[in-house]
Amino acid sequence: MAAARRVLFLLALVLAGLVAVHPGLGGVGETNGRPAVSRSGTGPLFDLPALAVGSSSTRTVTVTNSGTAAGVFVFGGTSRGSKPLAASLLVTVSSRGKTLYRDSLARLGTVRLGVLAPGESRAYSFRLELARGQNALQSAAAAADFSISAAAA
Amino acid sequence: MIRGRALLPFAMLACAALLAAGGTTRMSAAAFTSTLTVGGSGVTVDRLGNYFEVTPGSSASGDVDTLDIALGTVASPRTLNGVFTVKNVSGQNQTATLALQGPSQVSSAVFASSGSASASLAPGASASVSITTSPTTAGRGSGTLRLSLGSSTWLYRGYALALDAAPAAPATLTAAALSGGRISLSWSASPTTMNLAGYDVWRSSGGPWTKVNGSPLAGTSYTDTAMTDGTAYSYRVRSVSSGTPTLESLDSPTASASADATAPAQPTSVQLANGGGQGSQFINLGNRASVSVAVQLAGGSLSTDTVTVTVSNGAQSVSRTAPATAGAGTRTVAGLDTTALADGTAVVSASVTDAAGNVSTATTSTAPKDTVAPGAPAAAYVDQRNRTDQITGTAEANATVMATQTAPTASGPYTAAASGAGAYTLDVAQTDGRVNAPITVTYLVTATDAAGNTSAATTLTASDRR
Repeated sequence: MAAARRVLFLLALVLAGLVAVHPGLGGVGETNGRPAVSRSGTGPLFDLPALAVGSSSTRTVTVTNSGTAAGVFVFGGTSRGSKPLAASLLVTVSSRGKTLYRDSLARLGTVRLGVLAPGESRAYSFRLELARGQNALQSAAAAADFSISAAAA
Repeated sequence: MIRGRALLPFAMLACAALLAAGGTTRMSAAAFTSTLTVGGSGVTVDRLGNYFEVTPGSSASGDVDTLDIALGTVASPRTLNGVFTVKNVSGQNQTATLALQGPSQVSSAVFASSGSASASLAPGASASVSITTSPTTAGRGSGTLRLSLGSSTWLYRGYALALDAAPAAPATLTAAALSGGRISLSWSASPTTMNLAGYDVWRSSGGPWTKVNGSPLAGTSYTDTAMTDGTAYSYRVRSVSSGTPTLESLDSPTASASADATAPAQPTSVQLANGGGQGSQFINLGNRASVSVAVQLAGGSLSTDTVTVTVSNGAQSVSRTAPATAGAGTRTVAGLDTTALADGTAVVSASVTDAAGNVSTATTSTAPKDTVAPGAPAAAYVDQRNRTDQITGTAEANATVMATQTAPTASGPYTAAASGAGAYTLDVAQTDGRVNAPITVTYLVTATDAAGNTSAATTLTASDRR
């Protein structure tokens, strides 16, 4: 019985630790003073199989600090595929009327989204635009992986 | 103990499941950060191939993205149909637009269905492209033919277009035999004006065609001289481009002619047809402005031959022509104005020229030209008693003197020949006047020389009393 108690005790410890650090389990990202990231919607920010030159696509995502401590939120991304296309794609990140980033996808590093208090949500607009006069970019393809990170403020 | 051990795997599995349930969110315990990865974003730029499928014809290769149009050597002007076909592979109506960017050897590229550079295509519909070469520009050329989606300034493909455009051929060619067996050729200029080096002349006498000139001829005429009399020759002319490669047009129409180096037969005789004076051989004051000459043609004469008559006094000459008659016969050539020729012995010559320009040996004769009229003769009335009265006097030597009575009655004419010294005596009408009843007689007296020139009249009025 003593061994069984020890096992149950260890299991309880593990579960407690997981609940403490994982937002998906308890609805909050941090139960002991850490920020956590959650977003609205699912799937990729962009999925544009036939983007026309001169057109754009905008996606608005609500980011929530689901942790228990304020966090500095950062948006980042890396691209792969056609470098000329990545250089021609104009990315604009804005929120609350303020432009946080406006440059090419190729030059996108990290963008500070701001400090979100625990439980605070903020809408961010992510706009992707392909400039005119780019006949050579026909059928060019690029992919990108984005991330939203939060660090304790 | 056994139950406690049995719970251990369950506990570890539960831990693993919990870790897996974290999805894309992870936690970095060391930095106290939380990161949400949003992967899989992708962007593909639209392409012409999403709207059109291109099927190359025999003079093109590739597809909507890589089409290459190599027309090769093309006669000009020509319309090449079905160079490639454009099919609407989208699910909506689309407009395909062509834009030609050079070469100057191509004048247009259009959709055959519309006759213009744009075609509206329903889903699944196709339109073939026709290219027309320029009639004015020859030579090697290259450019780009752009296929666009409607009026898009970016959704297009530029297809390489290359060709060797031959110049346009002359539209007409004529051949005519010249004298000596030569054959003269002339043709219309090629519409090609750019990169045109000239023309090559090709000849055949029934066998293979051979080029008769060396370097291309700059002009639009040529005389072929290396001919065999009586042989029929056919000719064609090709325009030749300048530059590299040298390109030849299609053949011009064919023209034929027979070499003719044989002169017509010599006329058998030539003489004045309206000569004046003695023997009707003179050119005188009366006929000098319109001399007619009769030419006797030999057998074998052709109606296409031309008779030429020339009257010359050595220093000056006048000529006239008239069509010949077929076969032997007389052709009179009229209207020769010899006024400008000085008096003397005129040489009258006649020759025959055939259609090729071969000229017969001339036949000649002479005709004295005398256009000076004798002076009015001196005349005196000799009143003979009850006999034939007389008129005597002097006139130009050897002239024929003629008197015509006008009063009291008309009678005559009366003629006599003047002597070599010019003296003459002329028997005229018998008038029997009396002393107390004289009769006035009047004669007009003229002298005519051998050429037929007649003097002014001398009016002789006398009183016959005996």
